[in-house]
Amino acid sequence: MSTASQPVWNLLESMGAEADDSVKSGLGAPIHPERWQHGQAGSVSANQRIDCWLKVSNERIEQARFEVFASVHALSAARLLAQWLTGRRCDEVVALDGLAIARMASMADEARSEALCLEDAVHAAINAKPMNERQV
Amino acid sequence: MTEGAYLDYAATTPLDPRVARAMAHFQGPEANFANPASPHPAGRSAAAAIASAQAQVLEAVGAEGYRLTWTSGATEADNLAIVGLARALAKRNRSRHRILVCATDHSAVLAAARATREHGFEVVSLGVEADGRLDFAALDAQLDESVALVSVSQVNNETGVIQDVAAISARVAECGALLHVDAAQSAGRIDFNARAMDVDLVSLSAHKFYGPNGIGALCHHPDVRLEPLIVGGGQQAGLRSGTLPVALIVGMGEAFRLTDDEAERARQRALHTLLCDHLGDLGAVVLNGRRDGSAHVLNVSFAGVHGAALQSALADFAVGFGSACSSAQGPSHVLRAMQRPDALAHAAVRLSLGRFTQPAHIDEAVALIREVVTELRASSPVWREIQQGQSVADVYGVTTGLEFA
Repeated sequence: MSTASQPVWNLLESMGAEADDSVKSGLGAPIHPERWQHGQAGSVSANQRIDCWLKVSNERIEQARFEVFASVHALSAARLLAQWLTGRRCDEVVALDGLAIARMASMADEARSEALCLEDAVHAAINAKPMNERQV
Repeated sequence: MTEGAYLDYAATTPLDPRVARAMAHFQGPEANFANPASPHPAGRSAAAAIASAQAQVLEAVGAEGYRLTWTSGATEADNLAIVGLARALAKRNRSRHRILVCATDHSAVLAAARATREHGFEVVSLGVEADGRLDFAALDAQLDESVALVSVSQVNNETGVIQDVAAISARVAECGALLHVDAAQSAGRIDFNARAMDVDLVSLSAHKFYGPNGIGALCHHPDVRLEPLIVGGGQQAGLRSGTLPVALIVGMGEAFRLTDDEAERARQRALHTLLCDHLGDLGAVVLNGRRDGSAHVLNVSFAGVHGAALQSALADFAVGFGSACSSAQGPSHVLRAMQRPDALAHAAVRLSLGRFTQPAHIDEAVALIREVVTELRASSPVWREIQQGQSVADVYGVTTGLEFA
């Protein structure tokens, strides 16, 4: 297979992700979003938009997912962040900032604004109310 | 040799083997490598080969009887046409001091036009419609007796949009201005006849049409006066000094002798349709241009997909993102002129095919793009909103009409 046919997920793996089932589990909206908390940051007009989905129970994050309209640096960082968030207490996450995200994901300097967008999306999700069936 | 399909013909084309054979007669110690300015038999033979190539090029663009100045490529030809004309006019005619260019023209044309400001010229950029065609109302509003030159590209290098040169020419002639056409992407591919279309200057490029890199030409009406940009030994009647590269010129002549016939045009049109239709099956694929544009260029944007992620995923594939000549400079000025928002312009891919493209190359391109776009859309909040019923226009804030592949 030529290198030209490398799909997106292989590209993320080449950036340091591990080739296991969790590669895909952190990205994309939840299939059944009831009871998830949804936050978004950025905009299409800014050419950068990130949505964070959190399933929270007893002040602890059971699951985390991201939707990313940004570069592959943001996609890779979002995947890592989803893994990091899973199992964390909400009060631990409140202190999370873009700089920490950028360091965690070894983001390039030019991707720092995407780290800030990730931070904003996570905080928006933490502060959101769970979606009920009417909102879904 | 490139790995995988090559769909970047608008950037450059492979040398046609027939062109390579013609050039070989003038390369190497056993060939005729003489300087065509030399008076001995070898030099005269080289000069004759150049004369023959000149006739081939002029015939290909319907410019018999025009002068032809060999240049290093279309960029230099554009500069000679625009800056060379401005310098000549600056010495004689101050009443005509405005130059009109199309906003979607190649950066070589736009930069050359800007350079005429130091000679006192005013440059006006003419807007285009959302589909990339010149806004004729804008042209009519600007044309008057102060206009020296109007410059347009017959086929846009990014979108393949074809400008109506005949209609533009009629308007330009009426106000007494000159018309320059950058035919780098059109010559050999679609009908162009400088004399019949009343075009005064035509810029050409060899490597855009199966010829060698490093050679181009400016065909100009004998009544048009130009000042040289490159001075030296006085070759080409002093208009462009420098020893003429015989092998390159012979190559360009042969390339333009081998223009696409009707069968080849139809074949490429079929490939273009195949590519457009298969990519269109992905849904929400914005067409940047027109379906009746040049068959060799297709420019599309994939709604819901981020441009940087798309470019990263397709980094090893031979396609274009914006202009190959200025890909490091952000969203394309061409797509911006067509009122595409930056996010959509950023997610544009230019696929350009040619003489050696086969259906299997199209299949390969479609398969790869389908895989990449599908995966990127699967984790895109923008795509989710489009799937949930928001229109592409609303999501991207587009106020002009959008056509989809």
